[in-house]
Amino acid sequence: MDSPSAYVFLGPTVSVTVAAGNTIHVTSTAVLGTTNITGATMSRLSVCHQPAAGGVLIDNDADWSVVRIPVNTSIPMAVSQRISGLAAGTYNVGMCYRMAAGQSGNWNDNDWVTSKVLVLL
Amino acid sequence: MTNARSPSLPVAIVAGSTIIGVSLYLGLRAMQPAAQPTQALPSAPPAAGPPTMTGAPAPSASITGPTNAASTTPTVEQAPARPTGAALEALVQQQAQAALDALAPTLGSACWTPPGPDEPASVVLDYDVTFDPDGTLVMLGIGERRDAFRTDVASCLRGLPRPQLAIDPPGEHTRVVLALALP
Repeated sequence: MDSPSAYVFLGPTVSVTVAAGNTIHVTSTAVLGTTNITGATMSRLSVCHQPAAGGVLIDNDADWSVVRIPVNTSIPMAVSQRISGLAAGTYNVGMCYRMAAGQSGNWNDNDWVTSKVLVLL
Repeated sequence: MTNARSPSLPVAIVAGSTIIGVSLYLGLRAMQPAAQPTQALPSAPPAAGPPTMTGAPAPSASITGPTNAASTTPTVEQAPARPTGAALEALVQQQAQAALDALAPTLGSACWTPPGPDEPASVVLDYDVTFDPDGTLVMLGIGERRDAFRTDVASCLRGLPRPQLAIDPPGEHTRVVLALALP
């Protein structure tokens, strides 16, 4: 879905409970592509976390990238992030994106998303 | 593990040497005139560390002391050995899988819908879970399998509260992967 001003999770998330002082390390990979004649663009691709109770997705350290691909292209994209300074609690973590209006339909040749999460005690 | 053990080794050595020294002192005092014990005291420090490591002969003179002392120490019963490594994972896997199997009907009724014409009649999802030492579920990832998957069902399951998977406290963080077959 289009989401120009707020992050949206891309694919499944992992539910993680941390204690104060723990650090989360997240690595996510997705194969994304397009057959659209004008290609496809994503304004931000990153890793986000969100309190389990809900709320805004947070891109720790604003560690995002812009992605732009041409027609008939499908490639793996990887993002990783080290999240520290979290309050004790449970969080959802995973790959996330922002996308300009009208762009989500251009990403029409996608495959699987995988996220690996480690908690450093 | 290594860090936890390091401080205790010198403490044990010092404590052991103290016992050796006292035993030797008391033993020699019982056998020899009062003027002699001072000769026994210098032998205690060498027994504490380096001589033991290098095999120097000094400690051999004091073996009688601690051996006799140990023989009077009551035997301490050890707790049953707790499984570790692969055995621990197998135990946690068994208990957690049983708990998830018990919840399968509830999860299915919450998220399974009749499949469409191009959708599989059944799916298996992977519950990648990690328990803390007390047996509390602290991480959960729900994965799909390529051979048969229903994205709508998986998304629904991820939106549910974490399943309560009761297991015995494993004593250490333990990760296992469980299977949930639906319907």
